Amino acid sequence: MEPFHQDPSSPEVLIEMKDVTVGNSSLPENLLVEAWNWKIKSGDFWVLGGMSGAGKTELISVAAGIHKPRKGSLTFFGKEVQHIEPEAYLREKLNVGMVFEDGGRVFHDLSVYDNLMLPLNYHELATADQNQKWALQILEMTGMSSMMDQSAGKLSRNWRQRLGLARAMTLRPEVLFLDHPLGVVDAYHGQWWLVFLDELFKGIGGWKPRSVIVTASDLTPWIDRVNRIGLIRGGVWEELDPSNRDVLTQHDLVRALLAGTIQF
Amino acid sequence: MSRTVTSSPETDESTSRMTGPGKLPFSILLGRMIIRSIGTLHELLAFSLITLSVTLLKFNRSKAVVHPIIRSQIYLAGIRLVPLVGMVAIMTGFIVVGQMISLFSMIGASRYTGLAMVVAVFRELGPLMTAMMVLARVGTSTVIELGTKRAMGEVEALEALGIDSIHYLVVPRVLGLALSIMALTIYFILISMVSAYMFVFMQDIPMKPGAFVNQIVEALHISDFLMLVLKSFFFGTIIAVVTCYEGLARPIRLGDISSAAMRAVMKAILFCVLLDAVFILYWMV
Repeated sequence: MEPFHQDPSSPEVLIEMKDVTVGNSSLPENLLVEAWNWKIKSGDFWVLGGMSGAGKTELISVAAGIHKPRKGSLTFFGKEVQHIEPEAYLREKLNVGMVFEDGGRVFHDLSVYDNLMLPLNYHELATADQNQKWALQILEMTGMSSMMDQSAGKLSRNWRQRLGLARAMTLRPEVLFLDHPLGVVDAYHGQWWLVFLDELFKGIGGWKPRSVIVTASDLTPWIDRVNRIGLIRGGVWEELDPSNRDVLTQHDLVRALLAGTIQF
Repeated sequence: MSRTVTSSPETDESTSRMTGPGKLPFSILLGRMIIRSIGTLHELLAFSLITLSVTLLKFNRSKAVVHPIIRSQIYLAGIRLVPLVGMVAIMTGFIVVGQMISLFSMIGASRYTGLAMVVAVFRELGPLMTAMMVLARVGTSTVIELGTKRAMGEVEALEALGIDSIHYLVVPRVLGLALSIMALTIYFILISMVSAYMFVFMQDIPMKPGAFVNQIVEALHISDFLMLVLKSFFFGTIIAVVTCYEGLARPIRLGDISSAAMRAVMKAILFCVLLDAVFILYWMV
């Protein structure tokens, strides 16, 4: 397993948050983090750690442009999203992919294949033949070719989560967010995810994301893979360098999130 | 904070005006209901305008995805409902119109048959009954379908993929339901006219088919056709917008979907009847 190394030549800022306030979507009066500043650069592989309920999902939902921040500015690829036209925003947003937690939020009434074809056909970014070829290629890469005609709603959670990844890959996003990708998958599928993400970082099917962000309540699988760590606890955001093992060993939250499984 | 209850006449009087499980005064409950209704109306209007603007601006976009859904909605809300609408139209023709014609014949007012047919079926029963059938069969399933998508996070997934949920989920349903109700209303009227004449024929009432049709044609005006099209189109639009709004516009949990469906049905009936009243006012003026 090779760690995902940061691009040494002045990495470009892909997504930036300035003084952002993030609220809880189910409890509007609750604020999860205030005056949050975060830069996602080309070559970054982040893991966002925090205890369950700390607000990791809300944070990446705002960073991915799915939810709006209560305050502050969000910049996609150098353009502040609050000040660009909807069409331009959509173009930038297509460069940001999201794999949702807990079964990937796949479209239950569509087949596995149609889950992939929907974003491709909707945005008409390529010809129908090219879209079809790319969808079939993704299915093959993710080991789902044999189930392409099955209804997504009938898949097990393991496969739904994988379909969520396959669907997020269709638009070849430059930044890929994965919300608790290992949260519901069993050990076998979990191993597949880690191996596949390693391959993805190297480039797969002529595409690779420039930055990947995962959230996790257990840092164990990620600590040796990532080059950036972000922690959220009690509304406080903290960034750590995973190569600085001295800091990690003394950090109580990191120790808790590793659950004692790693000995430094 | 607890409230002290005294036995003063004022308290007794206010208690007598209290109602409901929370024992709140009727005036407060009424006020809350009015404020809630205004808020809902405001949201529904905003939702309708957004849907209208998306329909106009994006109708020709993503045709490979959206247009097949419009066709499938026409099938679900229109073609699949033809047998049901046909059956109800036959019964309406027999029970309501046929008996009315039979009665007119008995009192020597046969010349009003066409007018009665136009007023009862063309202007009122046709559009309203068709709309209610579509609401019961398709409107409720729309709330459940969209509410489930919302509760399962599929709507957020659409947005994350840059797919406009109004364009993908609402516009096809609005167009599908509006066009389906228009078409079904015409079927309903035609079938109920035929069944009404069948009743007349079986009752040995001396009225030839040509005379029956002539009376109806004479009673009809161009504005009747225009109103029929407008009425049925707006009934379809109301049903689609209200059911989509209840399923989609607000965060919802799986357990709340049944009550959302109930709310949608009540609101759709209310708005359709209100619109019908507006059309009746037009005729009266």
